[in-house]
Amino acid sequence: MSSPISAIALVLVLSCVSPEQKAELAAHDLRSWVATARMTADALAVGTVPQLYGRQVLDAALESRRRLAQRSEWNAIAPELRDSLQSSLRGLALALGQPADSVGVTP
Amino acid sequence: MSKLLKIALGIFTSIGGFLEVGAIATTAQAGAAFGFRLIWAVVLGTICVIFLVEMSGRLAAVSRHTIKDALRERFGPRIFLLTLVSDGVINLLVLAAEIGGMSLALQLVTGISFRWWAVPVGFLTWLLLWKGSFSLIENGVSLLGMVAVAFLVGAVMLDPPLNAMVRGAWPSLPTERPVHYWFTAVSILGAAISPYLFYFYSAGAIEDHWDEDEIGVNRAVATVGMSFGAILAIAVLVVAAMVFHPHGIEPERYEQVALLLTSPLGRWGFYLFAATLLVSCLGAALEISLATAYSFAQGLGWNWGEDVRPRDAARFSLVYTVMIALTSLLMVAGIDPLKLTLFSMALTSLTLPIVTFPFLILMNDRDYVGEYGNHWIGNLAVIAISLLASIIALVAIPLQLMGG
Repeated sequence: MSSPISAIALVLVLSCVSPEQKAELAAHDLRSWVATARMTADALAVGTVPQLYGRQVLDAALESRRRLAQRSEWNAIAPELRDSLQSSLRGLALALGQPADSVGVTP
Repeated sequence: MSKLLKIALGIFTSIGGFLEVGAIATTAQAGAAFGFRLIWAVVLGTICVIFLVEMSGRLAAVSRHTIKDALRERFGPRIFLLTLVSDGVINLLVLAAEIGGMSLALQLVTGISFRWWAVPVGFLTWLLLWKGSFSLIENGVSLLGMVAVAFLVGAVMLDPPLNAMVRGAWPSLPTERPVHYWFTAVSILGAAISPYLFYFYSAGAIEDHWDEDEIGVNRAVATVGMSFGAILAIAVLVVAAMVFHPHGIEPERYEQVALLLTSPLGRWGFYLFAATLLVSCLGAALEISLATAYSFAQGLGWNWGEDVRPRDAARFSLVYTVMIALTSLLMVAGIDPLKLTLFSMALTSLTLPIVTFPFLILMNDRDYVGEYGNHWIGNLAVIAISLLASIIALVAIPLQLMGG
């Protein structure tokens, strides 16, 4: 059993946390929030989730954006992706009946 | 009670007991990140837990010993203390995750932060233990856990591709993000092979006065109940693979996970998700609290039993009281429940050999199980899966913590 485990360990160690991968992981998180905000806005539009849930998702997304923006990888994320987050957050705010600019600006 | 009724009730409670915050969170993560590719981890974990649960029931039925008191008697205080500390730490983290899960379920439907709910749900859990009977906890709450069948309904309604599911049931190497893949795999294994499950089961067998006649019932309940429980866990993974994976949603917060059932079941799906999370976490929180109190009491020779009045088993009751208070406060402090869940499940995998190896020695000791000793297949399966889970966890946990 030791050789497959050693192989797994080696693959894991070699594949561990280069700056490019950290940037890709941050972009991954951001894409996930873009899709979450869009799916929640769609669900609000057809009434499959309550408004108070939509507000929780918006708050969580804004908190994640703030946390991501503090990381060094943030600047390596494509500007189009950051714009995409901004527009999906504005869309979610509108679906909740809030002004679009209540979500602030994605740095 | 007829044997058939016992089997049916046992199977229902096993199904309800299998799916808890760990299983929901890890399988949802797996489906969202890797589609159907990690179904094998649920299958592997289920094979192991079937063997372990069956063994724990058999040990109790044949020797009239729970695992813990047999461990203390057979190996002496050092090994017993090692398992006690290891289980104690893991159970504390998992209980915090369950309290967090219940609190999050209430946050989803009320909008009030989970931190405000942690103490009330902790109190509810404690009250049920203080006032309730063993059968209420074993049957009542676990039966309510059948609400989790909503995931199976959702999975069927989404019409998943069977070929991809069958391929996912076969272990495969990751094609991307290997650290996250293996970390998720060991988290799934840890959620499936939670030691508190078989400690609770063996203590329950003693509380229910099992003897050799129950060995057939025990085998049926362990095999069929855990298998159906695993089907529900796979259903969560399938729903996540169908709903989240195509959109690139990988939940880092429970708020995101709540969208899972809205695609197949609409608004009902949202409330059924919250109900499943609430009830399954409550059932698991009760079982973990009791399992830990059982472990202390059985190993240290205290009076114990859920049907014994708290004043007659004061130290036993004190253990679950302290556990619940501590874990509720952890949640009040604002620890991220989803991250805590995934981490505690991976940690469970890491410590599996500490728990399973001494137990296997017991199950092969004729002084305890007589002619009902283990078959070599059970020994081999548990050793191989425990070791595999532990070694992968040993590598994957630090790398995941380093940001891999």
